[in-house]
Amino acid sequence: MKIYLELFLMFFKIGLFTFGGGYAMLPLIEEEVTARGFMSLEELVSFIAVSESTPGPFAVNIATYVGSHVSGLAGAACATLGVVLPSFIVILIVARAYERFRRSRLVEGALSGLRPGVVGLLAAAALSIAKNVFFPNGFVFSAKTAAALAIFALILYLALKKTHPIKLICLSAALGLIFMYALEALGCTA
Amino acid sequence: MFQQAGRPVGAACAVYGIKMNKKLDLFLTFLKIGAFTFGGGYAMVPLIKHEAADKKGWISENDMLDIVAIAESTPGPIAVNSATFVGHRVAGVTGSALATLGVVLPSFVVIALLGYALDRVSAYKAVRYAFFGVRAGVLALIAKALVSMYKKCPKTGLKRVFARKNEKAAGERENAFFGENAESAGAGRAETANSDAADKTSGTGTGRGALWYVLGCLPYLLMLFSFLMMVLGAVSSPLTLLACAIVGILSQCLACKGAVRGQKRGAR
Repeated sequence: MKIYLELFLMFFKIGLFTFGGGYAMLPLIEEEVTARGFMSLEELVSFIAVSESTPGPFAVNIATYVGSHVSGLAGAACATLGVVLPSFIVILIVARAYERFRRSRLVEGALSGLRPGVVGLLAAAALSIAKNVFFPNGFVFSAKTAAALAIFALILYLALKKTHPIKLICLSAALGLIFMYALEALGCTA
Repeated sequence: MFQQAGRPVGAACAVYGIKMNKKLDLFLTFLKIGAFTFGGGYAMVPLIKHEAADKKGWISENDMLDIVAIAESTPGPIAVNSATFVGHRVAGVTGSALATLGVVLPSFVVIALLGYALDRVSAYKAVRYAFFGVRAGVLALIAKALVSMYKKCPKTGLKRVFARKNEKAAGERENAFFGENAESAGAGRAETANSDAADKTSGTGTGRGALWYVLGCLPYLLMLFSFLMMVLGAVSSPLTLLACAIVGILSQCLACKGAVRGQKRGAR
């Protein structure tokens, strides 16, 4: 029973503090989920790819996954309810007076502070993910690091040219297979 | 007599029937939206517009713009925000609950099923190899999201903040900066009075110079602040965001005060 409440509260907090949707919630998830040992950073990054290639918002996907990972279907339901509830309640309140909300100086001021704050947090999360992707076992430059860098550079180039994310994920999976089997054949895998 | 008695009942039934259908329709429409948008977030906006505005006529196109603006400024995923909003418009609280349930259900079912498969499948070497590439790809997607979020972030531009050699030009820029803030705050002023005020203040000295520098750099300072807090792990990210919001509110108050003071000084 306690684990359900923990899941619910954890994702309630994540839902409440995500402004901007999508990857904006990544820093919070990284902090909460990996710190409690529900998921490793590596698993989390892999799951982002799964979430990009399945329907629905990232927030709901990750809540469902972590919930079911930790304590089955009931856990998944608790986590999803937790992540959805804050925005549901806030929108119900805002929908009643949304003209006033939109012109509110208070909201505008808060957002002018929140937007840069979210960018900073996401940059920090990206940095720790980059460390995990490029240098999983300490700062040793191996053939694997070079392969990861090559994939990263190519995908970033294509992403900035607005290629669809699902295509990019399929391409990066294929590249991963090719590079890793090639490295294995050359005998450079650690 | 019989007919008269029957009519209101029939009318009530018809109204009730339409309402029930509308709620079911709401649920099914958002179920469809939830099932067919991959990646979530902004990918959903065109589909919601197509279904809710163009096909069903539940909301107008202007409403859709408002919804996106509101979804950006409230917590939570955009899909859930807009489903709740549209549902509320169409059929009150019940409607918003049904629309939200509809948009969430597909991804819940898919992930709940896939979760088990994922855990089994990750034991294979080929899958691990593929995910090695995928992680690098996801990092690239995050980097791209970071770039676009940075671009969308309202900034004054450091060049504009520090380029104050040309007093007149600086005055105009300053005017633009404070003018924007004051206007968005609903303190609409005449354009001519505005530029007069700015000309006079920039001519009389550096009365609000320090304030100008601080406010101009604020977005960058906040980015640096939250970045450092997260890297150092000193403060949890909700607290960091709260601090950012408070600083943002304070800066807004300061900017408005500065603009009002400048206006008064210009009038003198």
